Amino acid sequence: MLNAMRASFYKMFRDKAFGLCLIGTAGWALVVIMAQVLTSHARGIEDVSQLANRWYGFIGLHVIEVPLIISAVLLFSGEFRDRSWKLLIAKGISKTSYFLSKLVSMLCLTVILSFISILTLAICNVILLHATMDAAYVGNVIKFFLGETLAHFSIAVLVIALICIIKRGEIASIISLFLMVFGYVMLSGVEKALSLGEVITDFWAFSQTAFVEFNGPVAWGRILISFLGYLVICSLAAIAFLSRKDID
Amino acid sequence: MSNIVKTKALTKKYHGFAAVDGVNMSIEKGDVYALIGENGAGKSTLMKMLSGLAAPTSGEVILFENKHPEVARFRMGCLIDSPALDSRLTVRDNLEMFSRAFGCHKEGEVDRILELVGMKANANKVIKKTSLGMKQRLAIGIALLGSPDFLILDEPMNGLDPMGIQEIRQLLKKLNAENQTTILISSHLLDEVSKVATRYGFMKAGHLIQELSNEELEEKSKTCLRLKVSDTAKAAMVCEKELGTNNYEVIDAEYVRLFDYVDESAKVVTAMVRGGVEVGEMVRVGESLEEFFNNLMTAREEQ
Repeated sequence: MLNAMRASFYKMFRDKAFGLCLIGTAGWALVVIMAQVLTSHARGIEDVSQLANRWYGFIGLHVIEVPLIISAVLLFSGEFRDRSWKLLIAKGISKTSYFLSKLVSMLCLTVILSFISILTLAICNVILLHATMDAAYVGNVIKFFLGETLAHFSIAVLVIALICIIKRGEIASIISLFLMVFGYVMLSGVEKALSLGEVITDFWAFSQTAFVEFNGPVAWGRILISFLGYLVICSLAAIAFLSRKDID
Repeated sequence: MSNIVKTKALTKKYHGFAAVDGVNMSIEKGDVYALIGENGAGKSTLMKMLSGLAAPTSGEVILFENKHPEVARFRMGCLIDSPALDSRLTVRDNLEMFSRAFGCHKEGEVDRILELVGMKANANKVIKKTSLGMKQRLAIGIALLGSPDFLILDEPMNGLDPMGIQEIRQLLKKLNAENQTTILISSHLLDEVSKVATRYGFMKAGHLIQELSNEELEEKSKTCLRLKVSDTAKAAMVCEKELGTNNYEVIDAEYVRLFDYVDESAKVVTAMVRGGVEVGEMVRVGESLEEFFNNLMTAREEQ
């Protein structure tokens, strides 16, 4: 498995798409914060510095999810498209090891993209929104980064499992983006229909970011339980799908 | 000699259709085993089962005398179907990546492979900008990473120009002679494959219908006169006494094959008549691998 991971990292860092993903992530974060600033008057916010602590407004615009889904598809679905993953299986690497190597790479990618997004937001906050860069601010940024990264691990596991199950990057990305936009609404409907309260949506992968506040607490326990749940369920499903079929 | 591959009643069924049906084959160390058959005969499916890409419906695969093939597969190199390469990376990056994945990454390994498959000049080309021949060379190179003891090559000559075919043939011969690398190869270019193979397995409709060594095939495909005679015992006597040769073979109660006097049919007929043997038919036969294969397939269809 370690060899498969080494290969996966080598490929990720040599792929030109990886550089584009990093630039795209920073660019998307910049677009989101600029949109917040430019529409502040229309939304009745006279002093833009009021936006400096409204991090949920930025994160709520999928500042990490969108680059994460696109990057995952760009970097990890190619092996199924080119069928190059069969060479690893033919060399005796188990499908479980193969999936786990992709999963670890995906979690690392999440950390990297989360870092870039939040760093961009933090810098823009200081430059554009005149946030005071004191110890409290830096502490909040670090806590926010760790919380958001953990919150996005659930999404990362879900997306990589979808890529491994569907094996077609474009379809996996459409489904992931659909779940990102409509998943919460659909699950809320199910909860209401079955009178379940918020049992499902509380653990929905794309809802976990709601439990991370910039100036407030982070629901570490809830986010961690959600991540572990997705880790187990999605991993088992992906491994079962990968093992089910012969490789063409 | 140690067994590299042994299959026992290996079967693969897709929705009830047997693509490979009860194949028992064995490949010894140092063999260059050519798997020959028409499209859909089951060659690729058999190779996929050996390389772990397809799970057998029933039967058993034993690799390197190890009952756990997944453990033994790290000693194998494979090229199955079309080249499977990462199209966004360069030739060198593909080799670097797979050498890491296979656990054989070391200084100079990638350059050694580039040299072996004649891709040094194209090392920095992105895969999607290379020709099919180059992709095929690289795919062979990836199969050679880590110097495997056993190579499975499905149609390795596909897309190669004549020079490329010659180079790959020389490379396979060299690997087999110098490193005792065992090779399982399939190809539609029968004459080409006959230049490297030491053993042949002929497949039809999922069955392995015949296995032959190179010597046996040469023997079978020798040019000879096939005579239909009234009395094979007398004909044998004529061959020995009148024609002075032991180089003949009694096939059955009617037919005799004579490997000498191939260009002197009149002399043979005269000797037979003089010895009291009626010759009902005399045909000059001689089969290339292609002819042998065609005749074998036709005979099988007639059965």
